[in-house]
Amino acid sequence: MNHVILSTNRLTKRFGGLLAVNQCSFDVREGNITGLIGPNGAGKTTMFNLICGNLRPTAGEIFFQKKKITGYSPHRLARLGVGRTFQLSRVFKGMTVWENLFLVPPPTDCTKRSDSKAKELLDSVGLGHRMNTYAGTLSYGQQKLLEFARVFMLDPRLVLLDEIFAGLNPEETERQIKTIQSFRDQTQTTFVVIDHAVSIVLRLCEWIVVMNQGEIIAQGPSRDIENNGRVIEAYFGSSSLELLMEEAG
Amino acid sequence: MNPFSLILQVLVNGLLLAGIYGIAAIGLNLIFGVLRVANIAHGDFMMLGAFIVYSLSTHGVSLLIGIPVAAGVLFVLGVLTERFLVEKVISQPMAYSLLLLYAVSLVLRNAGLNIWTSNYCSLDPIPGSLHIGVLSVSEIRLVVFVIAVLLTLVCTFILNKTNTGKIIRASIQHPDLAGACGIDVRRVRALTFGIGSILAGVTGTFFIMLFSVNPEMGDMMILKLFAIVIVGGLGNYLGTFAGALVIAMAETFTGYFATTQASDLVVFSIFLLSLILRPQGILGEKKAR
Amino acid sequence: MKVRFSLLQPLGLFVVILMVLVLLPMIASTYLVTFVLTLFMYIALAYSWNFISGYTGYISFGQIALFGIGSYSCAIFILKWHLHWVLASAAGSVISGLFAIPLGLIMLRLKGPYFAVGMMGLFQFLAALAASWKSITNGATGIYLPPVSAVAYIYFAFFGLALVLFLITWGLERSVFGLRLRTIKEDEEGAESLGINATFYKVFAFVVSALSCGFAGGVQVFYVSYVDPSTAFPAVLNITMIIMCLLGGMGTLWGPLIGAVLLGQVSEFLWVHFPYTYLILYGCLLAFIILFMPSGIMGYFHKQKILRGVIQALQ
Repeated sequence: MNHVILSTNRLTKRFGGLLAVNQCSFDVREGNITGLIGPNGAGKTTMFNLICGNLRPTAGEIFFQKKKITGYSPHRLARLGVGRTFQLSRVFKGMTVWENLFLVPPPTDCTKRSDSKAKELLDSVGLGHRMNTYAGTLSYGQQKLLEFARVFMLDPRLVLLDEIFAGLNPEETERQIKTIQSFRDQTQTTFVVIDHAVSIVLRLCEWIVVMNQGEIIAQGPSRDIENNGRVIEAYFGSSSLELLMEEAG
Repeated sequence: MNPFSLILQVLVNGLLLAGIYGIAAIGLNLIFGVLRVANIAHGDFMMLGAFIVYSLSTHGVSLLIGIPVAAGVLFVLGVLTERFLVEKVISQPMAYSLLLLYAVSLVLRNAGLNIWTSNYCSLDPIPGSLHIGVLSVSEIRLVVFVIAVLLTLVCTFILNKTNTGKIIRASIQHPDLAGACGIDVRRVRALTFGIGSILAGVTGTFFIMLFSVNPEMGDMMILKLFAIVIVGGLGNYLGTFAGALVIAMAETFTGYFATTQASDLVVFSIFLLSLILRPQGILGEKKAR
Repeated sequence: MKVRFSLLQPLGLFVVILMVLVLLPMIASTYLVTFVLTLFMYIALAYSWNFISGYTGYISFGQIALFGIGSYSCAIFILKWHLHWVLASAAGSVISGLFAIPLGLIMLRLKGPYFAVGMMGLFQFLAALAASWKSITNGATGIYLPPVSAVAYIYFAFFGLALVLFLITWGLERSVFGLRLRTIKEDEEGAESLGINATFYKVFAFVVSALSCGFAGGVQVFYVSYVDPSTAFPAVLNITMIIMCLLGGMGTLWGPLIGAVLLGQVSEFLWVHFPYTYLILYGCLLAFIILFMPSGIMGYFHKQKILRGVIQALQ
């Protein structure tokens, strides 16, 4: 088993009266592609925001590479090697594809030059020929690819992908899956993937964490989660669960 | 007068001032909440309300007519400003609406200076004070305060309990969803801006009844209002009142025991302090959407 | 901005204009020199506003506050420490910059409106403070300085300032540093997630703006040989620098220059003849710009460029 690269301990986030994340503890192992799933409003994006420093936890801790990172600011975490993409693509529309990558501050121990790194990354996602195009004029799928490639300018050890497949057609989705897998295979980067398309997550991820109403209701290898009753209940309601159990006999 | 009753008197004055500030701050809060727009011109709307009432009264029109007229004018102004200016940039970055409302503020302030010059004006004081023990409270201040409290309660009630209020709150939280439910979000925005403007205008009329003002009053006023809204928090109308209390008390006390500039300094310091201590500010916590 | 004719043409033109400007005090009338000198001041202020508001998107409604701090500091340095006026202006500039650091750190933490209103409030407050803190500022009476002998020196001071600011902006437009600075305006949170320390960039831009405003304030004080609250904190100048930058195009290299030159002529005339009405007109102009041409004149050209790029990509 690989080392644990990210772990949370009783992470909690309260917004006034609302408990968005409630005492969540889970581990992510290095080199894995871990899925974070759950129905809408389960707290998945809030969880990402907590891990990446966009929000301060009300209680609990977060550890990255055995170091406590609770309360670190987003830019500090990015420098430490935690990258993320957002639900709605956040490329800098007023800048060219090239500029989008080139501006990312290189990590302190980086030996490779930014411009060659940028070129390589763009080529690997198929945007190499669009370097001087303004990012705002790219198609949505291309913007998502750009955002994905851009994160790797940080040489991240951990990348959080928030709904990276949202808005992609089947062909683009397929390509994105392959890109993630190839990046993982080549660089041993750890991925945590949020997506509402459970089928994609089950296919892509080795390990899955399931959230519902701010709590973690299940975590384990994907094949175990597939048939987990509580997961089915969370997504489809208890009546569906009863139906399934009846059918199973 | 012994020191204790002096302090009590100043306290009471501060309380009454808080009432006035509270009304305007609620208007500002409302506009912030529904439109996510900072109405830089709010102080100038107050000024306009004050001077409408002033102009009318110099022509012999009584306050009872003057105040509703001011309210009406401000409502129309607010709706028009929203409909033809703010609405056009509602989906743009906030900088644009800021600049636009700054332009409105500029025009109002300088039009005011043109019409009424930079002299300070006030209405003839309305006589009558109550004497409660050692305190002397002018009746009109008390009336204003009561109205302020009532307005706060009414706003809170409307927003939380009535259908109109629910519609407004829905438009705040999910404009697209609200639109899909058949709510004309644009109309809600225009109306909200109008109502916020009325509150500002009415506050202005109270102001000129109690103090002397000049067309440039908007400048410091908007700073005070912002400070109040930061301290009180967004959407929290009772909190706004608390914020108004803090600012009004600070201003009244320093104004009484020191100079007016000192009270401006204190207000500005509170503004800065609240930015340090309550970084959530108005637009909620920094979070990714 | 990459232009497609040969490099020699624009460069040559630039050099010629520069030479003319350098020689102007010797060949032109005092009136013209004075006029161009004021233009340089406008240009400098427009660029100053551009640094903070054009590039980071944090709109400042009171940059002139830093101008005023520079003004009074310079006056005091000249009077009490008998510094040479250039040195005094530089010192005033530094004082402004020092103020800007904590101010920026506090006010730039939050979204736009706070900074905007905060600067507005600062400006009002400092003007009022200057009027009442008689021991230092001599209140509303103001401080009188020895009259200036040759306008040419003032001319070169403002010329130098404008040139330096132009070059800094030119550097920003071409460098990675400038690229990162500009991400703040477009998407601050996205920039932070990529490791860009937004606070640093914002405060940096604000301090640079303060330094230049402060210097301009100092030179101006020496020029009119007098400082009082209304010359140190001129509301008119405050508004003018905003509109000039917006008209030309905020966040661009040439925008502030174009805006300042265009509006500079008009401004001088109106200021003298219609003191109050002119501000109303400016308010309307500001609204017009925001509604119909928010990216200013340069923004229009930039859009054309993007459009051309799209058309190329489609082919």
